[in-house]
Amino acid sequence: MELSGEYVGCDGEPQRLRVSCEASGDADPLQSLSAGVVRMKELVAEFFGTLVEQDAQGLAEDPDDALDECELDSTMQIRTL
Amino acid sequence: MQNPVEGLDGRAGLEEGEDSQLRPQAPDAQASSQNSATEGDHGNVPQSCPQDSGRPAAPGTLATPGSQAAPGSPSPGSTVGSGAAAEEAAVIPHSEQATLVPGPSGDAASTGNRSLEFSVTVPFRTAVEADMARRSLVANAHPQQVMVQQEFTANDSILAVRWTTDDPFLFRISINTFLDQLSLVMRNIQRLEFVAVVKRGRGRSRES
Repeated sequence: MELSGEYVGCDGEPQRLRVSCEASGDADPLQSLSAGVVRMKELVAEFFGTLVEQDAQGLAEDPDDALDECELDSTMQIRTL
Repeated sequence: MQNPVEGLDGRAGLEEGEDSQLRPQAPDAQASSQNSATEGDHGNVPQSCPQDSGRPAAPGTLATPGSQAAPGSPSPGSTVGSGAAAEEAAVIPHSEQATLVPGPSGDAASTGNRSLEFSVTVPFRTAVEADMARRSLVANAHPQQVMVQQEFTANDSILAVRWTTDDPFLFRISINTFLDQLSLVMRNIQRLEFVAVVKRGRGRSRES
């Protein structure tokens, strides 16, 4: 069993978070899954904490460039299609 | 006596001629304008003779500006109409191209920014547990979070949840809330199983 998360940003590139939930011995699989959920919560907090900080720094430096980057990515996607 | 009678007849005839020239429609007016132009050209020669008399000079001068005014009015209108039609024809393909251009997420390019997505897959032991979890989580989903779209899907024993938004900060809030609720749902499922086992045990003890 594996609890997985996937984030797709404005660049369209997926980033994955994975937590293994293997039950050991006679342990209840649901109990292992519950522990996995707790672990996933920690990973999510860490991941989005970093992401929000990067976003805030990007906006602080130059808000227009951040928007331009997203639009540029969209334009590149359009051209690729 | 005869002189005043002849004068009145001549004036009446001239007036009738003017009315007949003014009455025709636009195409007739154009034709009459061309004819009147030619007539005018030819008329200049005969008008010189009547001009000598002095009486027919007035109707000749009046007829010329009327005939010129009639052909001028429709021609600019027709050109304006054709120009407007051309402009409309030119605008339509441009708008169609704008609406038909697909964006990276399948939407039109005019939408601008791309939405952010986050998905979680939770493997339960059985399809029943996955469905129970889905029903509970959907019921507990906060409708206030209009800025974040949530989609719950149960496929066999796998529960999949997807969030879509433009703000990564909202992701953190929504996903944390979901994970807290998921933990609670799992705990409830475990309790239900425990209760079921206890009841079975009691049933067996009574039978024995």
